[in-house]
This record gives sequence, structure tokens and C-alpha cells, in this order.
Amino acid sequence: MITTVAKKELTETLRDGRFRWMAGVLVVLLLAALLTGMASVRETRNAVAAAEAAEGETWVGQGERNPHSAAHFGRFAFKPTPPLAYVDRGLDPYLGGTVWLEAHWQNPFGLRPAEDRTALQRFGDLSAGFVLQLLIPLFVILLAFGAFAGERENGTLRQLLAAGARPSALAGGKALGLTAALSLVLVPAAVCAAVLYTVGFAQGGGGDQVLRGALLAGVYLAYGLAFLAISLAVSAWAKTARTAITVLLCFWVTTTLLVPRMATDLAERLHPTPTPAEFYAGIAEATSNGLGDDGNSAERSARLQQQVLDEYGVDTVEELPVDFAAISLQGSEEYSNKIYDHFFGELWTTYMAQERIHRFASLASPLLAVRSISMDLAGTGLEGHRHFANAAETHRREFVKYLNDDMRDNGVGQSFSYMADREVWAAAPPFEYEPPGIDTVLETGSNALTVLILWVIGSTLVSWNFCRRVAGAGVAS
Amino acid sequence: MLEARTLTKRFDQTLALDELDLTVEAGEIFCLLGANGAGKTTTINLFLGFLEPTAGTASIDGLVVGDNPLEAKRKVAYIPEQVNLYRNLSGLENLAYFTALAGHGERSDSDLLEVLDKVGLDRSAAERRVGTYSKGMRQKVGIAIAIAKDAKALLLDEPTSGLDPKASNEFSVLLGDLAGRGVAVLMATHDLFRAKEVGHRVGIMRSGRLVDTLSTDTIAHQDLESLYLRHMHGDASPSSTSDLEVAAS
Repeated sequence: MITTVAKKELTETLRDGRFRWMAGVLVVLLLAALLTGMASVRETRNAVAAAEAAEGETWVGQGERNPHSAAHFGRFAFKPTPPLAYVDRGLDPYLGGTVWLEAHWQNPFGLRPAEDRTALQRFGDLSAGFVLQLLIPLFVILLAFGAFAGERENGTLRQLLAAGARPSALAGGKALGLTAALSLVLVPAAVCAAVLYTVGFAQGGGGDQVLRGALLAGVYLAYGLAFLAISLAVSAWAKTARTAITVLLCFWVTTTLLVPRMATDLAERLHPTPTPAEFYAGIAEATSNGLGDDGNSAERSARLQQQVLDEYGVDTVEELPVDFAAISLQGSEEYSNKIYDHFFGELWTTYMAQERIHRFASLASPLLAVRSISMDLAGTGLEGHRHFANAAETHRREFVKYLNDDMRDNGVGQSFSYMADREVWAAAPPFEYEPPGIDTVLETGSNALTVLILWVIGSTLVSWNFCRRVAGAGVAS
Repeated sequence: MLEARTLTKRFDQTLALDELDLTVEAGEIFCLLGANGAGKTTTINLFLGFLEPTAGTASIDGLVVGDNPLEAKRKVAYIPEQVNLYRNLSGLENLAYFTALAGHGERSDSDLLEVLDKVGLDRSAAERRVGTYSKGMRQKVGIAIAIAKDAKALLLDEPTSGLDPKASNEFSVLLGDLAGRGVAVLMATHDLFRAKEVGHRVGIMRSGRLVDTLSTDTIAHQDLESLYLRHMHGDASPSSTSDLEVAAS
């Protein structure tokens, strides 16, 4: 009986001109989003590859220079743009994709396309993620609001129940039929996405990316099903189709627009992020005067000098077999690392506290859970960015230490007059970054996944409860 | 057959149906007459299981509706004032759908076309979308559903309201055919003329009570109208009915 209902629902939906229009527009939007996403990712990857090559040449070809000067000349670390970013660009346009690595400074990220856009452009950013997260739920609502309410209003529900149809079979059949109708939009988009991926990233990705893609599809399917179950529940409850569509549109606006906005505002209010000026002023203050009881820079420098003299058993800097200026630079570097660990640690703690607010809010808005998982799976989320930022910072420290050590060992008696050459630059440790694997992503995203699963189970139970009561309520008159 | 035993329905303070005792035998057409709010539709809703009785039972072919709602519904067909069908499906598709949902599995198109032909819908009409159908054609699909699901009983709620005389007459003929196949028919109607023409018995309801029952063979049109009006004004009693029956005979 479920199959019979599903077939009828699908046939009726396909014959409805409104569905054909909506589905057509959505398919076009999705395909356009995927194509532009693909073009954008390839463009970024090509630009990054070219910049990386040029940057490598510039670094090695910088000529003779003091190693510490070279540490200030610095290098760039480029965040690899993951293939699945063509589905969901996530936070990349806002957090940036490249960072300048230099001595003393942990610089903010650059290459943030969002900075170059107007506010209006940001709102209208067309990505497959945007279409899937905002427009597909709306499509599902428009598809399903009349499933029961419309039939109740037209009198066919009464006719069906009088014929002996089981409400559970009706609910199951309608869900199946509407899922089939929905898949007519999603399946071509998924096939197109897979083809684009195969053509566009023939050499990149591998099994991990395929698994991520499959999980991404599963997540969006679950998201769509949660909205479908909610739509069926409201449709089963509402006396008229107008009531059903009004309630469901309110739900859509609340869960996809209001709650995410309110969660962001609440998170910022409860756990405010310092402005860049405040943040770097705090770092400058700590660098001058020290953290806690560490003393100011002069005191720290004097302590270090005494420690080095004791270590080598000499009385003056001139008697040292190594270049003290380099040791002092490295000491300063390590202290600034401690300061950065402190301040960036606090900043990440703030971000994580904000993230917890979003996680709680996702109990009221499945969009927040899906957005988080989608970005994580695409490799464009906060955790992915944090992973890269930590790797880049670790590399910055190794890189600066390598140069300071070279000056320490080879610049005895010359300090800043010592000049290193191409050989030293070429031997500098390269930045080799491996993004987190799928297991890490699933571990960090387990909360959001749990919330999404709760949404699916909860909405199915609510839907089941309302649909099975269809047999009595609202059909007697 | 259809059977009501002290069937009662109360909505808060309102007694919508008061201890109805009624039997409609197989092959019989019983017409329920009464003004709006007399309890006709409530009776049909109780037989369909859309309402729970406050007291008493409604049975279809020996099955108490409250105890076996699905099985009971599968033995009955229902034709309301407006047979509501899916506008984007053809008459044939609608019939196939309703028949399958009634637990009869998927019947072949040729079987269903034959049924539709019997009720006066030829192949071209059957394959057209219902959105283009007249009310009379939709009522015919309703009858076809009853035939296709092999219903033991048929419940009708003002089925001829709004039909033109020709369609109404065709509908009456189809009802007679169904009764001839042994289907028990209970029809709620305002149409005294149609009730007298098609029914074997009529029952007059007032304020939730079945106040009179009489055989249509034993009463003339104008006497039925006169009796009905007197009941509606509250100045008739079942005994006066007997007088009329005697007079008519």
C-alpha cells in the first residue's frame, strides 16, 4: 500500500506545473552553483600553485642576507583549497587562505575574498551549500505542506480514509513519494557534482575525498528528510493548507535565518571576540612588560644572558663560542611564542565558547548542525582552519629557529654582519601540510552529527505521531 | 448489511444522535431524511468510524466498526455530496488508487475500464484527468469505486445534491443496480423525490432521533412530503404515519 501511495504522490507531483517550475529553477541554481564553485576552486588552486612556485623562487633567490633578516623577509604558507570546497566554501572566504611567516610575528591570515565584497554580495553568495542549506528546505516545505492539509481541504483525505487506507501507509507512502520527487532534483545535482569532481580534480583527493563526498550527500539527505518529516507533521496537524504553509514558512524563517543570526549575536555578546587592535595591543604590551612575573624585556634579556654565560662557563658575551645575538633573538622568539600561545589560546577558547553556543542553538535549528558538518567535511570549517593555522605556526617557529640557529653557529663574532646564501635558504625546512583525515573530521564533528541525527529521529517521531492521528482529527465534518 | 444498535453520539451538551436502532438489509436502499443537524451525517460518520460513538454500536456486515475500523471500511463504500478525487489523475487512475487502498491490490486497467464503462464512463472519459469532469461524472467514479472494491454496503451523503435531473436519474439507476447486486445502501438526503423514487424505505430524523420509518411502496409523494413537513414542525407522530400508510394502501 505504501508503494501505491508513493507512486500516486510522485505521479501527481510530476504533473503539477508548479513543481516542474520549482524543480527546474532549483536544478539550474544547483548546477550553476556547482559550476561556479568548481571554477572558483580551480582558479584559487591555480593561483595558489603559481604563487607557491613564485614564492619558492623568491625565497631561494633572495641573495646573500643575514639569516635573521631572512627570517623577517619571511615566507608564505598557503592553505590548500580542498576539492570539496566547490560544494561548500565554508569559512575560507572569511578566514583567509594564506599567512606570512616571519620572525617575532604570528601574522593574521590574508587572501580573504569576503573582504573585497560588498555586504549585498556576501548575502547573495551562491554556492551549492547555500542552495542545499536554505533553498532545499524551502522546496521541501512547498512540496509537502499540502500532503495532508491539502487533501483534508479538498476532501480526498476523508475519501481515502473511508476507503480503508491506513494512516501509517499514507504517511509512509507520501514520505516515499515526496522523497522520490525531491531526489529528481538532488540526484541530477549529485551526479553532476560527481562528474565535475572527476573531471576537475582527476589527480586530487582519492578515497578520503570520495568518502567525504558520500557523507556530505548523506548529511544533506538527512537534512532534507528532517524537513520533510516536519512538513508532513505540520500538514497532518493543520486544518487547512494555508495554515500549514504559514506555520512551515515561519519554521523555515526561524530555523534558517533567525536562530543562526541570534546564535551568532548571542555568542558574540556572551563571549566577545577582541578587535584586532585590542588583540595586538595586548600582545605588544605582553612583549614589552612580560606575562605574569616574567619581567620586562630588559629583565628577561639579562636573565637569558646570565643563563647562557653560566651554561658555557664564561663571564662575558665576547668569550662565548657562539653568537649571543642569535641566541638572544631565538630567546626573544621563544618568549613571543609563549605570548602567542597565551593570546591565541585565549582567542581559540573564545571561538570554542562561541562554537558551543552554536551547538546548543543547533538543537533549535538543524541548519547550524548541517552547516558545521558540511564545512568540516568539505575541509573549509573552523576546525580545518585551526588545524592549518597550528601547522603554519609550528612551521614558522621551526623556520625561524633554523635561521637563528644558523646565525648562532656560523655568525660567531659577526652577528648581523654574517651573510648566508642560497644554500642555507634551499635547506630551510619546507612547509608540508597534510589536512586532517576523515576520522579526525568525524571526531570533531561528532556533536553536530549527533544533533542532526536527533533532528531526524525527533522529526520522524513527531511526524509519525501526527500522521497516525489523521484517521480521527479533522475528517469527520 | 448495516446495523445500528442504540447508537448514540453526544458533542459536549449537544445530543447529535439519540439511540438509533436501524438495520439496512443486503439489497435494500434506505434513505435518511431530515433537516440540517438532524443527525444524518453523524450517523454516516459513525458507520465510517470517523466518530466514536458515545454509546451503542455501528456494524457493517457483522463487523463492529469501533472494534474493526479498517476491516469495516474495506467492506463499505462512501459517496459524499462531492466525490473528491485527484484532479491531476485520470478517472481510471483515481479508481485504481482508491481500489488498491481498499486492500484489493492492483487491478488490471481492463478490469477497471470495464467497471467505469458500467457506470457510464467510456474509455476516453476514463482516461481524461478528473479536473475536467462534471460533478455527475465524479459521482459515477464514486459508484465505480464501490463496485470495484466489491463493497457490501454503500453510504451516501447528499449524493444527488447539485446534479442536473438527467445525471440525478442516471445516478439513481446505478444505485438500483448496486442494490440489485446485494449491496446495502444507506443514503442521507434532503431530496424527498429521489428518496421516494430510489429507496425501499425512508427514515425521518429530527434532533438526533429517527422519528419515523416507512416503506416507499406504501406512501405517495405528496404524503411523504406532508409527513416530512409535519415531523419537521414537530406535530406528527409515528402513529400518524401508520394512518398514512393505511390510506396509501
